[in-house]
Amino acid sequence: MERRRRLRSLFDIIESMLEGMESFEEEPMYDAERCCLEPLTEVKETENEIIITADLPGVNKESISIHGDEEHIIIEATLRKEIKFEGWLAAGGEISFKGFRKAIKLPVSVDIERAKTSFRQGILEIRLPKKVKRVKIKIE
Amino acid sequence: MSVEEEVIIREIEEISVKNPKVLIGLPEVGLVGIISAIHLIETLSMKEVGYLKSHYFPPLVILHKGKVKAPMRIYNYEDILLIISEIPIPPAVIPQMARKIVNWSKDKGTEIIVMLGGLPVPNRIDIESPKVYAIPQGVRAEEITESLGIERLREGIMVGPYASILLECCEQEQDALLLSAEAYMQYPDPGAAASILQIVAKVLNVELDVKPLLEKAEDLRIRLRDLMRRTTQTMQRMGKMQEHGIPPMMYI
Repeated sequence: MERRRRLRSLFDIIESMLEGMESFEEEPMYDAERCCLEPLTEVKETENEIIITADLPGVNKESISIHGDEEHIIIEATLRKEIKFEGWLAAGGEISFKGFRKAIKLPVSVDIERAKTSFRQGILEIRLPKKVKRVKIKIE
Repeated sequence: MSVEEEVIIREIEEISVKNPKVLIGLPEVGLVGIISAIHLIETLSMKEVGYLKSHYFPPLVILHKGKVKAPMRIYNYEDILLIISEIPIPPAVIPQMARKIVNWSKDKGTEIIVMLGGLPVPNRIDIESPKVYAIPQGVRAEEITESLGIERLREGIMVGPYASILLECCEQEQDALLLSAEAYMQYPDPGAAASILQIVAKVLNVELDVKPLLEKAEDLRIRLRDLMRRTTQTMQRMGKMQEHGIPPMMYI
């Protein structure tokens, strides 16, 4: 019993260390060269659409630009007010960001010409119809 | 290895509050707990009085205003103790952490543990004032829920650190109240935190102005992106999506 508990505990420690390592492998959520922050995004897939949402606080609708192709979407937006971090360990001192930028690889091909967008409460939503060829399968 | 060794609570100075109310703000849905806790610390000028540590936590410290801080800390104001974590709690340590917090709270003669959380709702974007729900455990918690007219959540599956703390409170007969505001699952939600804080103010009998919080909502959403992303990854690992399931006994 005691040995099993110790083993469990050992596995827990290894799992916990791996969790820690995963978080260290993460890409930073900013691009220092472009002075851009990466927004939080969510990509959902429904039967007919790919729905992307992006949290873009501090930007005006007019400053958002969305471009892409059948398989990629790039979202860019300018912040109303520059965000400055001072004495920040990761950036070696001072760094400021002027906007958001995120490139998203889509899980399936989409018809980008028929995309629909909305921007409410700082959240951008892009609805992209899937390019699908439907075939009826006959039951033999 | 005992629970006592797996999670340690260090009091920087002796906490001599009698029958405190213990608030807990952990990274969860919409970071509602963290945002609420930050606002409470600022508004009430709460004093840092302790911290939690564990070898299960990632080896990191927080640097703030040139000072080194543990990521999971305890603050105090009058009879209120507040536990805040700036890191998602690793799933492997959740049960031990829950037991340690409840043991420690019992030792302090805690009147009630109040957990600050978010309830993910798909139509959050259409909701102007997020509604707050309660899960009370114990007579005192039920009295508060009743007297403040908070709607109770009655069925469902809960996953995460608050679920473990609630279970521990059940076992140890510790009064506890989980407050959950309608929130975005994966985006920091200061609006949901404002709703929770309006209830917390009544539970604690303190004045809490949420206007300054709402004024800096955009700034918080920008600065909390990293923690939100890590929290989302942790929630996925611990099976948070099970909360969308129907409990098997629901229709009996």
